[in-house]
Amino acid sequence: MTDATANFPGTARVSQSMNDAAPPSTAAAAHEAAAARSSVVVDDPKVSIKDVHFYYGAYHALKGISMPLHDRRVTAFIGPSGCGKSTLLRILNRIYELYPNQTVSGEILVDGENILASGVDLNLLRAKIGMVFQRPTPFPMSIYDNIAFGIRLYEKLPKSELDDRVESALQRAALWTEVKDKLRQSGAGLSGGQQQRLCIARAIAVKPEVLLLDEPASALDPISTQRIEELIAELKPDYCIAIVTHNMQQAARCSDYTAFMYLGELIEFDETERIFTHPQERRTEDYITGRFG
Amino acid sequence: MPADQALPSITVATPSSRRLMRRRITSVIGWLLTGSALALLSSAMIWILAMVFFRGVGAMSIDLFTTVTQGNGGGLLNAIEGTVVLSFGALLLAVPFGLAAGAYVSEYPHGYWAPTVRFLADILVGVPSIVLGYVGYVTMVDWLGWNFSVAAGSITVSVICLPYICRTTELALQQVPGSLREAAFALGASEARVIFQICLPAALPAILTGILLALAISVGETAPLLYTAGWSDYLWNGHLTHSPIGYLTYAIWTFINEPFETSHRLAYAAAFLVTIFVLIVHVVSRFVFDRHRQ
Repeated sequence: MTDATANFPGTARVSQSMNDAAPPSTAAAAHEAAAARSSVVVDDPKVSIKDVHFYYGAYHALKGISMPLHDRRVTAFIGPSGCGKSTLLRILNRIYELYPNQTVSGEILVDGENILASGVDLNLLRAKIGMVFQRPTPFPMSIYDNIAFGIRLYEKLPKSELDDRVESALQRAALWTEVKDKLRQSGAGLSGGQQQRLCIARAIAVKPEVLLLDEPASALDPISTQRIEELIAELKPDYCIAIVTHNMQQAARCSDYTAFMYLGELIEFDETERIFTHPQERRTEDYITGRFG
Repeated sequence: MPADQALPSITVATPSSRRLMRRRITSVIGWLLTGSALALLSSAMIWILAMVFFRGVGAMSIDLFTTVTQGNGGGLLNAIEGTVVLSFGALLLAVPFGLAAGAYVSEYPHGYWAPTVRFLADILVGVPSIVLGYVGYVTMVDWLGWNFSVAAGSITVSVICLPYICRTTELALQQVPGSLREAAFALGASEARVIFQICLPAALPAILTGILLALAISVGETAPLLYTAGWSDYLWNGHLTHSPIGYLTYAIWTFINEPFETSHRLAYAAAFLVTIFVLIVHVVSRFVFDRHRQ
């Protein structure tokens, strides 16, 4: 894998701009990913996407996508802009339904239940499947209330328990030490990277089982990006994580599986190591070696 | 300036120096036109403000704020109190309805009534306030028999304020980033929670600006109040109907036409107070809005 990433001109720049004193996270993450990969996954997938088609009005945006998302693994969606990777992610919690004229067909089974069926409780679905967006979206309220907002939607907890939940979510998102003295201050006052970790904390405070990350680091600086990637590695043992990314090094560093999409089709899905070292499809190889996209 | 300094060398180097000359002349003419437009506008405003300020300050006295109007003299306490009461009443009615209508139009742009509400708001902005005043007179003062009263005046002014609050609320909510809405929905929040707990607080500074604007309008309205609130030399007796009430703009409108020095003083004092208040409201709303933008 190091051989593969060395081919990317971006890699050197990113590691250069990071502090030399800080140990590069790539090695640690790659090691962990390799360890995870050696243990064969026998569980049924947490999420099974089956022949999913998606239309923006008449435009056919996704053409028969089928793939699994495994529990306690990270699956990366890569591909050029407009290939449908974010669209696929937005189907998984049905957030696309906020907008008119968008239709989907096919099946998405989460723990064996088809979430695309009518009659599914959307609020409960979204409690189970959390999402973090490209740009940090702190709510216009205090740091504490940002986290408590989601918890209060589902549970009526006494103050002390709520405090504990907020603290553990912030700790889990590696933000607690930075904000514990200013929980009552506005979330908008944090830095971009901190805001994004606040959003991750907010998502995991609801205790979801699946986490959808839509280019969570694309608006952040390299150091904040590194922290988000470390955080993804830390969260992996407890969640099924799907991450959309434009950054192939990021996919290589932090995912176990990679799905390469192009023009609304799933071109190739495999273990990340294989995608980046021995891709089966010509188009995958062309994309990861930077010939297009 | 650096561009100006660079120009001569270009004029020498290129053969089309006549074209450059022409551009310069056009530019100078353009600047002259905009400059004179600015001068024209600001001189009119400065003249009005200066007159109101000098004559208004000259008319200021303690008595103005402590005594009520007596015929063509006295103070303005009754008018100040009346303006406060009427504006407060108008906002009390216009704010909840305006917020609700604005939120509806913004959050349900494809809702059944949304185009109607937006259309009515647009129409309402264009109706001359004196027409609304006359409608208020015919319906409330006459037909309902409320006579000149706080209720008739406040309701009429609230109708004038309503479209401004509705429109600014709509625009303010539309400026809340869609990503914020999505993030709240992605947590599983209901529509009502997203609107009331996320979008409205995020849009609050801009909405407040709209409310302040409506306040400025209600304080400055004259014609509709002449038809609906009447005028009174006395302090408000607390009754909503059947008793007219004083207000500052009446003092300006009426007393400037009286042939007495004392009534002119009252008119200028009232104009000064209204102008100062509207100025303060605009500065405050600008301040609120700028802070929000940062």
